Amino acid sequence: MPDHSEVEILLVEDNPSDAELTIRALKKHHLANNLVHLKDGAEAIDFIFAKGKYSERNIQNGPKVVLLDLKLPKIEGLEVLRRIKSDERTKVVPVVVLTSSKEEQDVVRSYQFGANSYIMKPVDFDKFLNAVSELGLYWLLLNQPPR
Amino acid sequence: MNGKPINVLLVEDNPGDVRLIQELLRETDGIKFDFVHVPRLMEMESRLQGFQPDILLLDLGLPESQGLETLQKAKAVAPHLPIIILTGLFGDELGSEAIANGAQDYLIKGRLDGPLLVRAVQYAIERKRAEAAVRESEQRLSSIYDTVGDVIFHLAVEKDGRYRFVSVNQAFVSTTGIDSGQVVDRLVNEIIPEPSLTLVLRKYEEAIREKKIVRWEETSEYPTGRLTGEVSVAPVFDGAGNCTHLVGGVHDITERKRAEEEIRKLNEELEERVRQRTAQLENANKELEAFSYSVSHDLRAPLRAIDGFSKLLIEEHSKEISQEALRLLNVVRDNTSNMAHLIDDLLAFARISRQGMIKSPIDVTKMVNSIINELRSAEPTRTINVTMHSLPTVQGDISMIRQMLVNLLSNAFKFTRHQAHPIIDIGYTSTAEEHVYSVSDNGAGFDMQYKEKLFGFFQRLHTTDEFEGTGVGLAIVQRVIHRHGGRAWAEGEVGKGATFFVSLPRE
Repeated sequence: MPDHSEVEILLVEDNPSDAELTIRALKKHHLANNLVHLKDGAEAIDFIFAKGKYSERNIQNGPKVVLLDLKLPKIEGLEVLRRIKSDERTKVVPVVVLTSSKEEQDVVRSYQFGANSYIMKPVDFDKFLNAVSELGLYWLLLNQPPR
Repeated sequence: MNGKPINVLLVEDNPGDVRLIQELLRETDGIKFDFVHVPRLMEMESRLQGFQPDILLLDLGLPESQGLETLQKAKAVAPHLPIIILTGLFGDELGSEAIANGAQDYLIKGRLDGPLLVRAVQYAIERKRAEAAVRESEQRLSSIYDTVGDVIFHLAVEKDGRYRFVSVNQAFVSTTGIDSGQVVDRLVNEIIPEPSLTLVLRKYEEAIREKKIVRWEETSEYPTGRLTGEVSVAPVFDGAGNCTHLVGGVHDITERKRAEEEIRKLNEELEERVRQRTAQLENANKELEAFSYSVSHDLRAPLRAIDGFSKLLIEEHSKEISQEALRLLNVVRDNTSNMAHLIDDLLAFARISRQGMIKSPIDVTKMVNSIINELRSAEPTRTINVTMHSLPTVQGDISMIRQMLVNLLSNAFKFTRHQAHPIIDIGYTSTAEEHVYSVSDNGAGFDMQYKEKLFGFFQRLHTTDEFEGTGVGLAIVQRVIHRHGGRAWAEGEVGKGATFFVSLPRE
């Protein structure tokens, strides 16, 4: 099992193409060194709350940022977001909601549940690249969450 | 009576009395009397054939008849004739009885003089005439009372404040099924049951206290069924200002109430049906929402992959693939971009169709200016001559109206692109019912034979090479306008330009 103590980015994305494109975009800006990619909401919950196969982890040692897709198998993204933001131990972890949806209800609910930022994944890869790198830079380098 | 003689018929068997009366009547000057005399009642009837008396002077003591019987017989022969009785001395008692039985007056033969006789004759005629007039008037009122369709009742207000029925009209009987005999002379308390009684008594008191007509609506059970009426009661006061009577009327509105109830029931059914239909529509809307939500997510993801991996191929493997393959990859990317726009427009159209409208006053002039500024800054190199008049404000959903105007104005910008001196004019005309806004340009225009297709979904009159677009913009314009209760139409000519009109109702 890899060392998960110094995870910088947790990417929760079930679509392999989107995941690969996101990881490539981050790599291009040297932001993907300590990245963990999970493919469903249940595993994301286990990882963040140090449960199940991640019970070895220290919950205090959370990722610096979570990139969270909304449409996920098992437990949907909004529910993952809600659980992170309603737990004292994890609510300081910045969560960036990453989704194809332009639907206003998704934006509104994401912010209601405490999302720190919301990125619509554009079809245009160049725009996607910019969006991903900008948000990665912001949350990893500029934003200093309270510890 | 000037000029016209008074015809006097005297029935008298005593020739002396006849002569006396004849003399007394002759003595008077100014008034002329035609005098006819018969000695017996039997002859009176035949004498009436050729003579129309104004007054009958009747001696009660005749050979064939005595006393009041004589009066009765005379009245039977000439019922409308005023009668003065002639009696002997000490005939006061008989005279009074005669008056009680319909005679106008009595005279005692021994005390007769000319002026007394003449005055008695004149008064008798006048009194009879007045009585007839009163009788006629009463008959007229009574016929109205009994033929009118509304219930009328007459109550006496007794000294102790209770109310007693004096009379009710025919309509009361036919409407309620209660005979007048069961009501007249009885107290209101005995006739009207609770809970109506309390209400009725309160209204009577109000009418008397406020000295005005009081109206109310009342429903009660009667032998003919349950009736609802509009009741009005008017107080009648005597000279001293005491209320002695109440006159009431009831207009039967049972049928109207039944009809109103029917209408209310039908309305309720209709509302129920509308509720059901609305629920069905809401379900359909929810399904549509779920559908567009998945379209939004699921159709875009593969496009993003196609575009993304094509881009990676171009960027990371350009050395390994030919120029032609690179061009083909760019065609793929262009098409994914088109597809993405289509999906966005499709979703925008669906959103316009289903989202709730919040109407507020819109400063159209300000909105158009802001959109034009945005469009200008998107194409800073172009010089476009935009003319605009001050436009009337309108009630509408701000985001929808803005979307509609963006589509119209960006079309004008787009289709004047090949024009050396693009001109766009925004104007309006108003009627009492609506404002019609127009956007004209001198751009590519269109063939009027396709004007029906203009506002259709995915309908395009130009190729993508000429002008890019998905064919959804004007469909959105039309949908927004329809949802606001207006119309959208266009005029144009190929190569000369186009004018688009949208009408919006004034509030």
